[in-house]
Amino acid sequence: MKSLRCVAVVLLLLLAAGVVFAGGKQEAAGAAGGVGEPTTAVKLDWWYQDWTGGISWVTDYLTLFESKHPNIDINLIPVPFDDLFAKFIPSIAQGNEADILFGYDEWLIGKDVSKLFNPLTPTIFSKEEFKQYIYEPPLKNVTGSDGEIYGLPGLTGANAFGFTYHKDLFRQAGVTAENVKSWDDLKAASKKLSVYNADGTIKRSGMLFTYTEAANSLLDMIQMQGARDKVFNKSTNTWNFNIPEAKKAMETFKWFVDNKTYDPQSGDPFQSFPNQIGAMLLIGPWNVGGTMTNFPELDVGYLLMPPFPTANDKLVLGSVVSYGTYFASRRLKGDKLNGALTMFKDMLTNPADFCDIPFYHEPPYWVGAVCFKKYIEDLASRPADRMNEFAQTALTATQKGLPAINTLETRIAEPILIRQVIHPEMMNVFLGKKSIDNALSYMTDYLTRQEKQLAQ
Amino acid sequence: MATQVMSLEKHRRKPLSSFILVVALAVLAYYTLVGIWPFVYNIWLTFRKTDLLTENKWIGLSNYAFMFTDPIFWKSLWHNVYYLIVTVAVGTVTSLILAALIYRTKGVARKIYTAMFFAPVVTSMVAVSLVWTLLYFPKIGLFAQIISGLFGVSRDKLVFLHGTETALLCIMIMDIWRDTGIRTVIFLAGMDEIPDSLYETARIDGASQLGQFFRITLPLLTPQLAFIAAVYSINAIRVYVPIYMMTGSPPGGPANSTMVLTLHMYLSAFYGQRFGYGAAISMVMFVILFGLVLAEIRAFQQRWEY
Repeated sequence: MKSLRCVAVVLLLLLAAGVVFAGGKQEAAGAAGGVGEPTTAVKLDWWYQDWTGGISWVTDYLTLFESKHPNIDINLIPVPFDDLFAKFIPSIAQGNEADILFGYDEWLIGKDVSKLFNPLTPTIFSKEEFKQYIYEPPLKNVTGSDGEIYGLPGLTGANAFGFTYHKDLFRQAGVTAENVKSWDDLKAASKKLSVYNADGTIKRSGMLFTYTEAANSLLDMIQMQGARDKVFNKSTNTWNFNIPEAKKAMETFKWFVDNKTYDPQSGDPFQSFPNQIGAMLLIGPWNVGGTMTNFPELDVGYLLMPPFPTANDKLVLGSVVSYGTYFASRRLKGDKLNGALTMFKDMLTNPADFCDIPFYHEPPYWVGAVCFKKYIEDLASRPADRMNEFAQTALTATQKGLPAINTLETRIAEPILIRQVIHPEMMNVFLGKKSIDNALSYMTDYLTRQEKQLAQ
Repeated sequence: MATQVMSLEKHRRKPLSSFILVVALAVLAYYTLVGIWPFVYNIWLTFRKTDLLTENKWIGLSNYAFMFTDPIFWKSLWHNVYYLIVTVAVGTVTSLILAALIYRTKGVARKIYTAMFFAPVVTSMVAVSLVWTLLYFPKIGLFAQIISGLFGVSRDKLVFLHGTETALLCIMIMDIWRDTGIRTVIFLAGMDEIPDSLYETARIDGASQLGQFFRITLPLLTPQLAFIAAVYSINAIRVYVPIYMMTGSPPGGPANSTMVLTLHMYLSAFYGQRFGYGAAISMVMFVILFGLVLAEIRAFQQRWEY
């Protein structure tokens, strides 16, 4: 009996030693500055925002990736945007988040990401090396308190980078997209593109505004007039829309309503635009891919946002911006972590494998600005016969859009700032329920109170 | 011998008592876990500024102070009260009239009518909301075409869910339509309980049909009326699904014209990541609902004698 007990203890000790040293060895390999290929077959769950083009895009990429890395099997789980947003943080708090997560960096404003995710540096690359692959501004919200990088920003979210437009409606109205370079050009084009009923009511708007992007664009216009520090003061946590620049920006939007080129009650713009109840839509370039994937019979193009008419004509975008970002769960260890980091490294070092897919598919899965520096350099040097319209749009949106991004450092989450406060007040102005001054005063008071409460 | 029998009885009782105790404890533990603990935790959250993950600070009554000066909160509360008044009043009256009409039919016809009006009740609210959103498409949707064609109203005015004055009303109309069936069935059941002798007596005394309805039917339906008023008042305070499904883009409708307490709570907590503030809104809802439930209990306890 005694000898049996001894044998059992020895076996237990050997087992414990094996677990400790084997696990430690794998982790040490990860921490040494390189990512190891998993030695065993691993399966990873990946939560990804459910939009038609996005899921198709990543599915195509994973087919290619898994053929190069047969030990890694990634199970893509589409999650509708609202569900993903609602459960992103609570699932991490609970410890039941997916192994790999797609999310938007602005969901993490004010949070220390080193407590939320696995670091990508120095594991994949050092910080400095990482910045050679990804533009620096998108790394801001995914850099932890320890200075390491915890997320891989891949693409921009739904920002007011410009306008999708129906090419056939432009042709019918005799409008040339290449000639629309200023807000005056936009106004003139919207007038030509608007169609009216016999009683003078709008049948088709020349211009449609989505709710998120219109509010984003209002903030961008204020910044373009040089009033960034006037509209929001980070040190005193105060907002101030009672400034001439804000009034001018609001008046710009109202022009379209007053001149009957925008019907604010023409329905959900995501339904109205594809049904050609509007000729142009203020939206991010992602909508090109989204529209053409869901409505392949449509032929849409993209116009970049012109600078607001000011003395210096400087383009400013992204007052509230979000980057679609990839994260590795902090629960991941050993081979599973290696599997996730191998995929991230592949995206960084072979960005064309990932980024070419949406632009070169017919119709395009997605179009937008990307954060992969090497990929943009590659695009910029491609010969014309290897470029198509959508890759060109992505190149332009990135080269002109990303450097123009100047985010306001507010603590207020985008859905509250944009959807609950700014856009509702814009609608009040469009529908004649409030004067511009009253709307701007309300925004000032409400946002200042909320900013101060969040600063407590 | 008697002592032995009693001892045996005691022994037999012990396992049964233990079994009951274990089951009771299990039920209590479950209720504590899913009912009491979340409620207590929610109260605790109302005094904190937290995103559940990286921040968790005591801020005292700051969430309540913000709430009572939050114009969106007051707007949401008003919308809930408006929803309550309209859906309860209009819903009750329409169901009552419908029940009175169906009550006059007999046999298969009565069953068919009841089934027809009950069908929307068993349909998913999400599906109903999506369909009605399409019907309500502004200016060119089916309702716009019908109303414009029948009454000559300019289609430009038919904006339904995209008008600040009409959005909430449109949702209420859909909600009243959907639940008319179940209210009607409840009233029909109440009418079936009323003895025919009362109506016979009234007829002999020369009472008209309308007189019989107001003097006999309506007073004897008071328990059903109280029940429906209480239940649908609670529903009106808790309303969420049709609001979110029909005016979710942007959430709360044009210019927050359909913002209600549940939606404001959800947006503040899960979108704004201010779980303490969301918890505070939920506590106010609890107080309102508690008051309504107390009123319901009083209504049930009251004796209706005529």
